[in-house]
Amino acid sequence: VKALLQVDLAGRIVDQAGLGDYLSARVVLRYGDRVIGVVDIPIEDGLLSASDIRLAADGSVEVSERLRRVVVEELLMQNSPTSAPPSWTVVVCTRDRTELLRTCLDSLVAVTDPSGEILVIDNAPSSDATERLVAEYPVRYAVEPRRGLNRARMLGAHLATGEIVIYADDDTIAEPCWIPALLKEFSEARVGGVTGLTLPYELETPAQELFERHYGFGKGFHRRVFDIRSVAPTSSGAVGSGGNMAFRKELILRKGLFEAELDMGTRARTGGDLYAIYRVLADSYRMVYTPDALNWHRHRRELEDLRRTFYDYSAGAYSVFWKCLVEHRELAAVRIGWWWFRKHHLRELARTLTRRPNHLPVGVVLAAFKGTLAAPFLHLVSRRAERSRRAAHGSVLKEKTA
Amino acid sequence: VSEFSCTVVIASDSRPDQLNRLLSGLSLQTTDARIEVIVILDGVTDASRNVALAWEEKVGAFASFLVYEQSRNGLAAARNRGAFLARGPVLLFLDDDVIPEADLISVHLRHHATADHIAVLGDLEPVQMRPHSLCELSLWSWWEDTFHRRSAPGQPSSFRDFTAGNVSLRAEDFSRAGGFDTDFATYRREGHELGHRLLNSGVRFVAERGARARRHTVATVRGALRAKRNEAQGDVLLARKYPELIRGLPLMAAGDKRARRAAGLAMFLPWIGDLIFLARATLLWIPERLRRRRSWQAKFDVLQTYAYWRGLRRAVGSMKAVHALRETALPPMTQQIDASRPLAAQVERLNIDVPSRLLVLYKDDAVGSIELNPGNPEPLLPWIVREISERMASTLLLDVARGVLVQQAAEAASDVQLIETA
Repeated sequence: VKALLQVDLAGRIVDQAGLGDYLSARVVLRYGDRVIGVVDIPIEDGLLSASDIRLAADGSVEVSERLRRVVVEELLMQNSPTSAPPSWTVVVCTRDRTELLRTCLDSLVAVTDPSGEILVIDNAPSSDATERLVAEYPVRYAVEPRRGLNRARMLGAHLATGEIVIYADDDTIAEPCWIPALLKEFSEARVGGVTGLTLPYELETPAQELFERHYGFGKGFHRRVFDIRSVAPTSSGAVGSGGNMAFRKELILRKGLFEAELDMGTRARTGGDLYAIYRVLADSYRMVYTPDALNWHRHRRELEDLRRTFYDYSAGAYSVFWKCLVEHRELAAVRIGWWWFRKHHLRELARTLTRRPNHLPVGVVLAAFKGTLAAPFLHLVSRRAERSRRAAHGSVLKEKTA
Repeated sequence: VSEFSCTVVIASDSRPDQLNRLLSGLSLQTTDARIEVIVILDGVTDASRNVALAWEEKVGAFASFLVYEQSRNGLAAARNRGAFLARGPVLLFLDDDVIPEADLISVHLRHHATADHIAVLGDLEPVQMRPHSLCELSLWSWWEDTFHRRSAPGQPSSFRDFTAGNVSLRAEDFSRAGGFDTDFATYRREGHELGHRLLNSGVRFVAERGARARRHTVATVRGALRAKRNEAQGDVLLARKYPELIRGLPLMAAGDKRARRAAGLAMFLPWIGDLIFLARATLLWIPERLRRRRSWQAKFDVLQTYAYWRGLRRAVGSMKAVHALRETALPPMTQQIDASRPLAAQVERLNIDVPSRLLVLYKDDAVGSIELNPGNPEPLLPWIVREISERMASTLLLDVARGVLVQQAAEAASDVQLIETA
């Protein structure tokens, strides 16, 4: 269990007191709006002194190098001309999680300026609780009555008034620098999408720590540009994840980036974000990962949730690989799928069986295996369900027309 | 004062359907300005003539419409003819395979209303005619990168930025520069050549994404390779006319090992090379079908290198002649920027036509140097900032800290002096 803190190295570093419940702290280091890195520091007598933080920052080669680079970049780019940021819409898709949504909206409303808007898509709600909550905030609200996160995402894109559609999950919390950092990358027309850094909002339980250690959303503290010259589009998992991503609205609508047969609310469970990133890369657009677009994610607190999460993620990721292979003839999907299986599943199984430190519980590893093996079947069922729904919808339309 | 605000000059090269679409697009422009359209048919033998004449008969489509036919003299001569016949103060050159957005002319004219001696470079985004064609995706990515670079804040202008497919400039600037060089009759690079003269005559380039016309041509590997061969021949002409540009032309070096091998084959064993590369071009569909994009791109790059050097051989005859051409190049350049002053204004004035060494100073101290390459695909200002921050951060920060200390010491000394005086 770790305390999570943020320290701005551009300002004065002060002692952090009142941390008696924790043995160590994970400190996110920033320089103004730029995110520099993370250091883990042990806590003594509930106090984390400024000198400890400074020593930890100096002691990390990666942090001190990035800090030097960022300071020089900021120095040199002072007063440089920049292009005007595009208009934007933050789309939050949610389903019956009002408490999480409240925190998410609180953070979003605090960082929003008039150049954009927030749009909440309520996906197949079981009550009007979300609608009542949203009425308290200056945000737009729409209902997608059919279940499916990707359907909600597509509706969000259709209703968005901004050129850029930024997707946030209802269990994320935005930082003030989040939206400007994402928008900054869209100055290049070939950039179809941008992903950002997602760090854990809390590390209070073993399940949360295990999740962060083995399946954390963070992709490091270096900006990276992905295109078909640098990666196979099927490696979309390396680019980012659905809780912190933005795309051009025109591209989402033209290419139909979010397939209804994927992600939450379908048998495929997850993977809608991976497939969208795949489509962007396959069409020769660029994806940019920027660590400066920081938001926080509330990891699940219980081990049982962790087991389900690992099952869902494996099922979703392998459904996408399967879809890429079958529908787009992407042979690279086999290679990536095998690499992923070796790097994550087999390695985790070996670590669990040999009882290495911080290993995953065997049930969680088996859940990931189960999800992987079930993926082709799940994808097939999900696709058939979507097709029959479309066919039925088509016949209803025909009846209406007649 | 002319009765027209702008003359659109279209040099047409036997593409009747495209010409018809272009003229339809022009007839639907949202501008209130009076527009003159001149179509120069360059040795056409197909239906282009009928298309142009049909538009000539349409009353009210344009304020003035003129068709001129000439025997095949090349696009440069055709455009010059159009400019000669033009009556508008602003010339807008358009390729015949583009479809303009409805506000194309008004966006071009808006720039000319507010500034003199500028050439407005419009967007020419290629439309993907065949979905999933890697050749078209490659062409589209290249164009997007190119346009993004030329329109980036702080980007210096280069003769390479000037492409004649969607560009407007004042007629007097065009004639002062001497128009297109007709020596480039059948080759490409006539735009680059005029761009060089325009820059030398003081014309500033303004890249405007809003002035958009989309190119509707099916891109093929064969077409791309033919274009590369012609580019090489155009480069030879450029090199002969402008020794100051030679160092920035691809004929100076082939690139990596595979490119050098392809270039060697093209120069020394062209018959064998032609056979090998014909086979490679024919088999390029395999990685495309297997969706092996990086493999396809690498093979396509080598094919393009081969085609370029094959064109070079056709233009100069031998490697010895290429070496002779290289020897006429001017000596390498060294430029400098001062990191203690705002960078954007300094970067905008850099010469990126040829490779050079860029000295980075902080006040009077040298911090380091960077090799500037005209082939750099990124916008220059962020690239330079990244290079400095990655390679010279420690030295630069030390210089900054020393500067602060010196300043503080000077201030302290001046305070002491003041106290002593008091």
